[in-house]
Amino acid sequence: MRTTTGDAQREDAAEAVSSPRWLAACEIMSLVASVVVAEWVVLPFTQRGAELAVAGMVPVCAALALMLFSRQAQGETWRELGLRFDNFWQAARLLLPAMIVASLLMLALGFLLPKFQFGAPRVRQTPVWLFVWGIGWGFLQQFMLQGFVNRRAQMLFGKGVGSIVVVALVFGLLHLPNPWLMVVTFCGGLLWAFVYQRAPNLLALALSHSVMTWILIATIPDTLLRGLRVGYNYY
Amino acid sequence: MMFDKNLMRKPRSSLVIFIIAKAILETLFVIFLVVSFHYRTFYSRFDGRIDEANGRRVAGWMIAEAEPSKPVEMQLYINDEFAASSIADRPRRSAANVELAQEGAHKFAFDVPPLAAGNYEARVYVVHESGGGDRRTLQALPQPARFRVDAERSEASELNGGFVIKATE
Repeated sequence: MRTTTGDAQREDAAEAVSSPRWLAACEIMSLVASVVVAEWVVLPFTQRGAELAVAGMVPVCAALALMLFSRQAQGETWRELGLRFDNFWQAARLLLPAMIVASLLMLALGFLLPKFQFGAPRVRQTPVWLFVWGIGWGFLQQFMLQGFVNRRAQMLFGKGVGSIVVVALVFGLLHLPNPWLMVVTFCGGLLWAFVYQRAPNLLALALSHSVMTWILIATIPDTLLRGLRVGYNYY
Repeated sequence: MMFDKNLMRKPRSSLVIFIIAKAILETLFVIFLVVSFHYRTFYSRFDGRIDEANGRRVAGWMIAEAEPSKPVEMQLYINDEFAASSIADRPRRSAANVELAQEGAHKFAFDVPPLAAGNYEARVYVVHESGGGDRRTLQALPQPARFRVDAERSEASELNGGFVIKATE
């Protein structure tokens, strides 16, 4: 009898530890840990150049491996994650009004701020840079943020305000200690998480990310954005 | 607070193991980076000594073990305050210890700024660059030198526009 009770307790404990909610929280923390290592540990403790590039690949690869392994373990399809075209226009329709309002706000803010300039450094104004930034970096961030964090936040809190705020908070905090970027990414995180929960389409989000980033750097002075640098690199 | 059951599949124990393994590996990676950084930035690769210290001049020799032939920037601190900097780039040919000269010992000398009468401690630091020049640390030569500036001499220096100090080390 004691043995049976003990077994039951052990099973309960195992179930509690491996429950999807616990696991989802651990997955989010694990991803955040990789980004924190990349932003705050690799740069100050390595030498610029090849060493930095190689060391920087470690947390990036760890984060990607986690996302891919988790996708497989959770049985998620690429379509479920948002790699699809059928809901592109639905997502775009949800994004567009908020993007227009945000763009007008940034433009107004840009005019009000001292030293207004179309602040993008020259290197960022090249089509190649815009392409790389928009398609590559924007997609990677949205894949991480929505395809991974948002879905696990939904496992924790369900669809709605709770999970949307979690996604926005994670996105904003990963842009520490750049205050302007933290505010902007928190707001962007709210919008993108909201849209993803209604129309999960990573391509539309990546495009939106790209366009909004360009508008941001074209309106807000670079002296405030500090070259969009985050983590230790901000200093 | 209801969580989304549609998103919950059957999380496998392999995912738990993966997360734990990832945490361990990342911790080891961070430890490796920090230890490596500490070794390259703070581990002393210099030796040397202050041979002469007085109110006029602080001089001695040093060896950069990693790159003996490379001139090295040095800084003089008197009573923990920056006093002067210099480049140790002169081979110590006249050294009594020939072995040191062969190993790449360099002489250094600082002109000491005017000092009021009193006791002083001179410390010499090697400026050590790491991280491709991004980081600079000061590494102290082993022994500081103490010297005294007399009141008479200090007054004389004000009158004569120069000063002669008695070293009492």
